[in-house]
Amino acid sequence: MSEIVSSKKLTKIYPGRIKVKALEDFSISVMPGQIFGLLGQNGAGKTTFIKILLGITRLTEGSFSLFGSNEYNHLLKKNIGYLPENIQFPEVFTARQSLAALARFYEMEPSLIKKRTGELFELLGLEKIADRRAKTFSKGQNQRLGIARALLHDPDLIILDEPTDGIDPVGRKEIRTILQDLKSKGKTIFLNSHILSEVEMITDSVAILHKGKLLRTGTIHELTHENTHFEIKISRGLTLEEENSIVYLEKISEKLYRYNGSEVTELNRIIDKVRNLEILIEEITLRKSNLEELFIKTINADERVN
Amino acid sequence: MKGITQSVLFFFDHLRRSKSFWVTIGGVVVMIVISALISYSVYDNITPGTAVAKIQQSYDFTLINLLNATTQLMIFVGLFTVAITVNSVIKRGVFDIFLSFPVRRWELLTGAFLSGIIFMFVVLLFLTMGIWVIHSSIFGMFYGEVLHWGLLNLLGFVIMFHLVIFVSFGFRSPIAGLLTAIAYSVIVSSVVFVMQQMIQTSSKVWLRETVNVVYWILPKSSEFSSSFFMAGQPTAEGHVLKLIISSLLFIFTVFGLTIIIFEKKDY
Repeated sequence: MSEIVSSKKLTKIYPGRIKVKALEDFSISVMPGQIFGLLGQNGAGKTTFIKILLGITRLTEGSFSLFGSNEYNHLLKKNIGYLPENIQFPEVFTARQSLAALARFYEMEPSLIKKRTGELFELLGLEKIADRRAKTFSKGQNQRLGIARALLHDPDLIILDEPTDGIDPVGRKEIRTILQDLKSKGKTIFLNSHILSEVEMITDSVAILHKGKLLRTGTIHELTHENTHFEIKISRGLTLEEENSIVYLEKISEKLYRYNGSEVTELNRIIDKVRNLEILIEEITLRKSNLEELFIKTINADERVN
Repeated sequence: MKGITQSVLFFFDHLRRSKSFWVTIGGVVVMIVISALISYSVYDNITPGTAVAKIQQSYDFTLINLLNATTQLMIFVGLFTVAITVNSVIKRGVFDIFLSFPVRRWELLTGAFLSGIIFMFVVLLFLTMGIWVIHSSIFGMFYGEVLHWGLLNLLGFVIMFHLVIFVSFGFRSPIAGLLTAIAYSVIVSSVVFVMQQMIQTSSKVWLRETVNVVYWILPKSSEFSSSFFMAGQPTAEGHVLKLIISSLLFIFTVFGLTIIIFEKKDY
């Protein structure tokens, strides 16, 4: 199966008196049907990457492909739904009129526009305010309308830049459900976010971007399990001899030890050895790092190196 | 081409829902009503028994002046209306949506430009025809010789509007575009026109030639915007055609430049 989005050594330098390197040798690939999260602090280059994919910003070096095509073609955008960061709608339109007017660029039939608009307004809880001007909307309502617009023409690739920005916790949960539902329908979702707990809940793969450079990429499972370990609290401290007899066990404090692994068989072997020494095991805790910890650790490590 | 049509339809949809659109339509109606009152007042002052030739002279004079004043005013109102529409589309947060559409950038730009021209054509057509029909009905005579000069008025608008488009899309500042267009029409074009008229008798050949070159390069916004005034003036053979061709060349060049800048620019 070929990637739906991929980039190879993509570099973007914004020209000017002070040249800004927004992306440097950035290579990722997103497979069809995935929810992919691009993580990074403000100014990391996340939005620049999306804008390059959509032809809003031109790349300086490297290449990218969309739907397996290396040749950039504006018609590819027919199959992309995009929610920009801080989206706004033309002030003269109501929410319903906005979607109808913008749908014109996707050659949608008026009857289909009407049907899709109705469905999306219901899905996103906008039906009661559909005939109000979008300029009177709160940030959250505006964001929901932006998501509706991105989904209007039923695209295969949905690119969302900070989709839950300004949305309350209940709304965020609804949006997560919508995204998971879209994934189950085979849609690919590419999202930029700095709300890491949410990204962890819904994405399959992530990439961590810092100052234009890709620091880590992988599935959520791979990234969050690499620091998985068990902490074992025992009734008394081990002697040096006892410690040497139990390999893989690392001392944290007097009665607290750590097994750096996620192998349950090995864990049981360790437990057996400890019990054979007639020591009581008081507590065993599985410790795994979450995405936020991993993100901060990765960013800090890069900051120290550079 | 499909992209241009989609873009034109979008801008029209936007235009017709804006308040300034209704201000423009209202302006046309008000202009027609005021013109009707003036026409009636002029006709009412004609003493019975005046020769038909004299009445026709009065008819022509009044019609040209009415059309000249009203169309010039409506060009500025129309320019303001289309500039507001452009502004609404290129502001941050909205423009990203437009650039993500499956249409080429030049199609988007051309659509915006054409929609403004078509809108203004319709506005000027209604204004001119409205004033002409009422004025002629009051005078009881229908002479349409001067009406084709109205097309030059549209060209006056196009000259200003292409500057709005150039600055708005090229440098993302519609207000600066509007000010540039107005400043060009009111100051630059008028000054160059007056200088070109005055300098013809100058003994300094280099000065005369320089001003002539500048005059023929720049578009003739001030002449076209007062084309109904020109309708009553004698002009040299082929002069108007030269004005039109030189102005169109300038417009095409600047519009081409706008497309190049817009196509290459990062947003």
